[in-house]
Amino acid sequence: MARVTFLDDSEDLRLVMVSLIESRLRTSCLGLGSYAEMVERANEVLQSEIVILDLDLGHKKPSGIDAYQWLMQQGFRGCIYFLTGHGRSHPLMMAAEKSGARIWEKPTGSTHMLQSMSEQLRPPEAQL
Amino acid sequence: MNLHSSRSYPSAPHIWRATLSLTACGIVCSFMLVIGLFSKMPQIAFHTSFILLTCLTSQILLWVFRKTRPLHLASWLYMANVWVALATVTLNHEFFVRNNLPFGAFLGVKMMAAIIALQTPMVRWVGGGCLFALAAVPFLQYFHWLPEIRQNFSSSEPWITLAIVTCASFIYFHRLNFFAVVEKKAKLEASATELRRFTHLLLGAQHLTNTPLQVIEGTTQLIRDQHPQTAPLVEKIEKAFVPIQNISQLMSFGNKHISWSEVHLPSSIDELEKEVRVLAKELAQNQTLFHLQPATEEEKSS
Repeated sequence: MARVTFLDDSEDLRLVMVSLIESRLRTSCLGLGSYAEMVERANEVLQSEIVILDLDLGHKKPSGIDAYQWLMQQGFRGCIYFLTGHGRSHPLMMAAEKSGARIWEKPTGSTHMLQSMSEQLRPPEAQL
Repeated sequence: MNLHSSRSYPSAPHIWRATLSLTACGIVCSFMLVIGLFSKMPQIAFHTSFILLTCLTSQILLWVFRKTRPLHLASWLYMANVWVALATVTLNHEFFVRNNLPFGAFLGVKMMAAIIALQTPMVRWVGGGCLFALAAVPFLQYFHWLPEIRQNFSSSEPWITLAIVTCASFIYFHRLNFFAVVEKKAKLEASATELRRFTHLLLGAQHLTNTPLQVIEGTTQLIRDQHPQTAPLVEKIEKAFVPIQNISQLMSFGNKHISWSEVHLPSSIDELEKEVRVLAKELAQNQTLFHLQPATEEEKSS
């Protein structure tokens, strides 16, 4: 079961981030391209410890905010990060930040992201 | 506010239209006068022919400059047409006075004052020059006439004519002030629209570049991990990445000023290109409409 879920509509970014997370953090990472895909694989997503959401998932498609609200409705207990370029001042993003979600602004250094994620991941022994 | 449909805006095309209509009326009237009076009154026909020649010259100049339409030339032509019409009225007065024919004292001047107050384009020196001529010429003509001729007119002349021209001046300059307020408001609205479009454009550009930049950044880390010998080269990329990152974050300054329920950022380069074209076109239109010039050194330092 993946410990990190990465949701972004850009296939290139998904491939790069999944590779980085798996190689640097030595943990499995699930890459998803849309809200619909996330709902389809709800079991795996809800068992993740970290979910990283892009805000804009395509024109006229459910956004990262919708994904966040779905996670909250499903009782997700893990850590949520938003990886967004321009949406920092979106009212719902700001509300999500107040509720504990963290926001990274694209383009942000991978080292910084991975460092932050490693602090959130439970040690492997604690999962047993 | 649609500036293109504004009738009181003193753009060169507007002044050209006003000049064209005035000149066309002058030509028609002059032509009719020449035809109707030539056989009976050669002198007035001579003056009218002169006016006809002036109007024809104006039309030729209008045709020559139809593409460039410089504002000053249009303004001078408009004023010249008004002066020519005033000369016609003045000559007619002289004709009637010398032939002892009854006529309405300075009726033509009063009519011209009303027309100029309501029709003259919003260029201060054009309106001022026309109204000044309308005030001065009848006044000078009246006192040029001998006292026995002046007895044929009402004792209130030329003061009534002067009062009407003064009222026309008040109306014209009130229009001018009102127009200045409207113009200022239009400029502010145009500026605000330009700024919103520009902010939206920057956000759109940032939106389209931030993901590829993130891909580049992540890929350089993967290259460093998989090929440690490339570390020096990867460091160069990382160093170059820092200012790009800062600039990208600066470009998103407008995200605090947009309406999230209405905004639709471009989702492709083609859409962004369309927005750039629309903004460039609006900038060019606003520059033409408002005769905008680059800021001088004094303005920049202040």
